[in-house]
Amino acid sequence: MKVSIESRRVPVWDLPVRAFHWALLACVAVAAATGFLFPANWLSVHIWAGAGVGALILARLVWGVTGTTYARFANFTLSPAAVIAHLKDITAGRMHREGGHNPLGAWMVVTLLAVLLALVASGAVLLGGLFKQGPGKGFLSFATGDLMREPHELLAWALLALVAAHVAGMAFESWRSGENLARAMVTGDKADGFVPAARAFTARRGLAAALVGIGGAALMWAGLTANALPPKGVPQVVADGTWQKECGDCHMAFHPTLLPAASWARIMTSLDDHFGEDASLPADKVTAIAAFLAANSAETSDSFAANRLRRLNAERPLEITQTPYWTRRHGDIADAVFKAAPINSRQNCAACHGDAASGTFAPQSISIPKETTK
Amino acid sequence: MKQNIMALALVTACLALPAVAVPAVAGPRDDIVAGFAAAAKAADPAFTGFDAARGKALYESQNTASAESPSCASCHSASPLKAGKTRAGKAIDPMAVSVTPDRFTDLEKVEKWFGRNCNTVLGRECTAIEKGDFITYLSGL
Repeated sequence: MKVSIESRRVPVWDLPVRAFHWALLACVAVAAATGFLFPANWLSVHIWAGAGVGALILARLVWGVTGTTYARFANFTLSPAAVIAHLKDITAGRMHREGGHNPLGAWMVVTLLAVLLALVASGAVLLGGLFKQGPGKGFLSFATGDLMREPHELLAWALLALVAAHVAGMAFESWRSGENLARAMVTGDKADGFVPAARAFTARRGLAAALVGIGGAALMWAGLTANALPPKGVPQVVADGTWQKECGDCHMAFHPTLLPAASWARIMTSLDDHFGEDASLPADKVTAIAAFLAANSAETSDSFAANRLRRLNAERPLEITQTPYWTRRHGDIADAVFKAAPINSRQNCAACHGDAASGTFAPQSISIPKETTK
Repeated sequence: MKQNIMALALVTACLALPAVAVPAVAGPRDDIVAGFAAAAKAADPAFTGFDAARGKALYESQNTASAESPSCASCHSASPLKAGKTRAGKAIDPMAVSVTPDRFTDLEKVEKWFGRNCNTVLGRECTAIEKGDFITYLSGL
């Protein structure tokens, strides 16, 4: 059904609304691509895209109470009566061209903003608790972060569905009204003859700039301050010289937080048969190393690696590379990749995990090196 | 009296053998080799000196005590002039003294690794003669 469109163009979407819309799309696209498709070492890009989404939405909330007529939330027709009337119009084939969002469109925008904010919030909790990064690192436990993994993923799928519905609704209304709504979000104007908004507003640019500036600066300061806190439940391990030297002779000195105390104790009392090798040490060195490992074992740390690796393979409780998490996460890497230089073995964590020596194992630090010829 | 003769033999061995087995300048490695020579002589009065050929044979010998590490060459590389690699993939500096000059200059380290690796590869301790032969071989490459 087409209705006649008047040729005079009237400004509807102001520049901040349009800039917000397309910048948000860019950030969401990057966050979705890195979250759904890309390997884990793209986490930093995902984080910055998510931070961008959060910042854009906060700015949009300010503009929603300070912007021009169609940017204002006061002109969003969200009442159930308006929605029902709109649905009746559609089924009856009646067309009321709106200047701003129709009631379903307004609900779509509100829902998208809410889901995106929830995604940013759950992502920040995940990041803080699991990886001890970002503003939550000083407050959040691994368990709290872990709780947010499923909601974050479900929200991401919900977002994809909402985006699809948003585009479908826009296309449907464009077809019904004869007005290219996507184009309107680029140029900012619509053909005259639409139903104008209930209330006209002039933008309060100064107030908006002040709110965004001061609020943004305050948030930035709070975020940076929180980001500088020590990670909750992850005490700094001061490397013991004997441990570093003796355990680092044949393989990297595996961080003490990577195995529970009971495993370390068994390793230190069976050095004469250390995975088939005699790795005996004088008694005084055994005592010193065993004490260091016991004092800094997985039980003492809430780090990502300590939490992930503390569930052991019951048959082979001394081997980090046999833990269920380890085998699951490395399962798609071919045996030949591990054996080829410069990795050489599964025990050479540091070949691919740049931060393995510190026991951190951040996703961003993963980089499988190119094979070297020898 | 018998003890005195033993002591004299030890001292003689310490003084005499380094001059035969290794180059002129005495150093920590000479002392270590001399120590093994003394022990070898003490264990077997017929001992006359270390032999690089026996050391080479030991280095290259294939043994059955360990499936993963049947030979010195398994980890230390077939050529002692080249870097080796532990089972865990960590690089080991070449064993040849000509390539890694500080090899066999720290007695504690020498005994630690003979202790561990002879037990792993051969399933027993190495004798003083074997240790001396081994060092003699790797010092002359």
